[in-house]
Amino acid sequence: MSVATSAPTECVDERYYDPWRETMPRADIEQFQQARLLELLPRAYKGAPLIRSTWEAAGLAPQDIRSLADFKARAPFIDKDHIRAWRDAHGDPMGGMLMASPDELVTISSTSGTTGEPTPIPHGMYTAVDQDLMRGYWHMGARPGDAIVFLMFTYRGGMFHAHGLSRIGLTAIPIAHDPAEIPRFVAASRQFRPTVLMMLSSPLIIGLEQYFEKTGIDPLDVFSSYKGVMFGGEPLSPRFAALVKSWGLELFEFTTLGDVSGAVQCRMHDGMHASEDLALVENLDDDGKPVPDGQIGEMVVTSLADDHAPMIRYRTEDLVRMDHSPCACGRTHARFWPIGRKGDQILVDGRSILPRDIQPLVEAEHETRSCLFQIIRPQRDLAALRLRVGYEPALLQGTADGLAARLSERLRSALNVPVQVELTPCDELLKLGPPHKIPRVTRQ
Amino acid sequence: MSAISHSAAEGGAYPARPAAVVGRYLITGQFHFLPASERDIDRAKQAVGRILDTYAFARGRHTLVISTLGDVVQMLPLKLAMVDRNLIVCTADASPYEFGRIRSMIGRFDIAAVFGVTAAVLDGLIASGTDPAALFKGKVVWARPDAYARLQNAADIELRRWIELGPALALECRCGDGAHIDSLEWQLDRADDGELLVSSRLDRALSFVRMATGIRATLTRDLCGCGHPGPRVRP
Repeated sequence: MSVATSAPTECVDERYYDPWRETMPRADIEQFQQARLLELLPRAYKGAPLIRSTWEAAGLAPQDIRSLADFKARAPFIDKDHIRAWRDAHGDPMGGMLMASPDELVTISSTSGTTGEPTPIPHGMYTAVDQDLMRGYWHMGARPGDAIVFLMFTYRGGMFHAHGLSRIGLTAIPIAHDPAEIPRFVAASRQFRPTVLMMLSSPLIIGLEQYFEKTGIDPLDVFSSYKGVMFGGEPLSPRFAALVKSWGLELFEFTTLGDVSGAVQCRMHDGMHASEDLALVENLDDDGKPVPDGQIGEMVVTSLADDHAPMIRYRTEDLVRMDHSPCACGRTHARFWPIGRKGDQILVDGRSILPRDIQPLVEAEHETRSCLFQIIRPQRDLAALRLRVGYEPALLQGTADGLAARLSERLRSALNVPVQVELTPCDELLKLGPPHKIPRVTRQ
Repeated sequence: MSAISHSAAEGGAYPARPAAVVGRYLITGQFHFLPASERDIDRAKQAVGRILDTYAFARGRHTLVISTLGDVVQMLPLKLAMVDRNLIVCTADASPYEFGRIRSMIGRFDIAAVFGVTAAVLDGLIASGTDPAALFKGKVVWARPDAYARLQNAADIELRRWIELGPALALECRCGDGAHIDSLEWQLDRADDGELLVSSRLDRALSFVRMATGIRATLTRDLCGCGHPGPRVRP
């Protein structure tokens, strides 16, 4: 059927999934945020006991906040410790964050639990992360009729996300995020020729490298249909970036905004795009004051698209640099560059070190190319950098002691601090997972 | 969408439908892709909902679904059926390393039912020092065959069978007297050696004709105590 009309056809920019939102001018973004906040705050205050208690302790009520500027100047913070303390004190598994009534609740997913007990996350069928990912898939080239391999976990709401993709004509091929599933992932890539993959992690790249070495299968053929692949879990190491590029894949790093929403790189690969209509993102110093663009601060987030358990001024402990200028890709929302977790920062002999400083040095040795390591940190200040490093016994040339000595020397000369290296087989370290990462800092 | 449109490798070929998701089915442990359309998912939701309704779990109760993402064709309809009934779905991966999450979910929430327990999950719990029988006490537990055998003697668990017959799912209802198969969707036949053969009856994204499931079992066709007609599987 054709429809004739004299009305002009509006030109929609097909580069974006949601062009109106993704390219809003800064003033519109802030107006949107203000409207959403003023609508959300009274409901959060009324429904979520931790929010109410925190605001009461600060002597504030939602009606005291009349603008975005008011909110940024006066709203109190919460952090993971507040939520845990509320949970323990009140026997409330939701940590005082549940705003919705149980009737409105659909599912409870949870954090990965890399560093402790998983934290429950109550939500509806679809989340802000789902919305953000959809923008990322579209940007990478997925269109209705395409297939997406979804290599994830069930505990993050993965099945509902997969189902949601079908509503816009994408076919999800969900597969467990587990190196043991690599043969199925490869088979799905060959059979269904997907456009997008969500997501690779360091352990999966290690597994794929070993798989291609053992089988002789050509990764260029396996991955020939992919227009983009997300990578997440932890920072991408230089060796893994080069390795995956040699397979013909373009990686787009993915992270979360303190589990409030997602953030994905664009083809410019110049920072992670925060969707500021889904979450208000601030970069603040330890005193809660704004940090200028380009300087390092802590990411603080507020949910703008969560009707179940919205985080209000949540200190994520993620250290970032931010930039609020429009990206060359045409999107207008803020970009950020993760630096590391506040809790992962250690002081050795007075010098600050983050896991990402160690990453390229560990993977430079052939036997430790998998870049699996843990910083052993009984306390924040250390006299020497103690590392537990995973190695592949099959690749060992010479003795393990020799490898440890070589690695120690490489680290010592680059970081200029005393170093102690303890080697352990990679397979043993991977058991400490969740499947997509291992704890980078441990007490013992 | 031609890549996702299948003809049935194992049996007859009906015209293919576009897939909403691609999951998996297993034949004697061997993995095969299983595309499913929205209609496939929706009909499976109705079928599993009939099993849930034999329990009449109160609205607002929590459940725990233990699975991997590859189980999407089996588990998504179950989850959607529970959403329709205002049951709150907690999730954990079917992995021996998920003992912490499973313990945490059961400890924190009033879990009425657990779905999809595997032997690997039991191994993980035991290795972490948790007695599965104590953890699942007082709950309805739908266990896959390898886990069912190990939980069979546990007191205070209402144990029910979760059986996959290739692409078809069979679940026991409250009566625990054989696992119901959706007879609108699937036809079951029994080969001379007792192996069950499965055929699809409706327009699925991937259709099946007398596909050998690798499972030997008896079929009961008498009316179940729950009132639902149709065949039930007894291993």
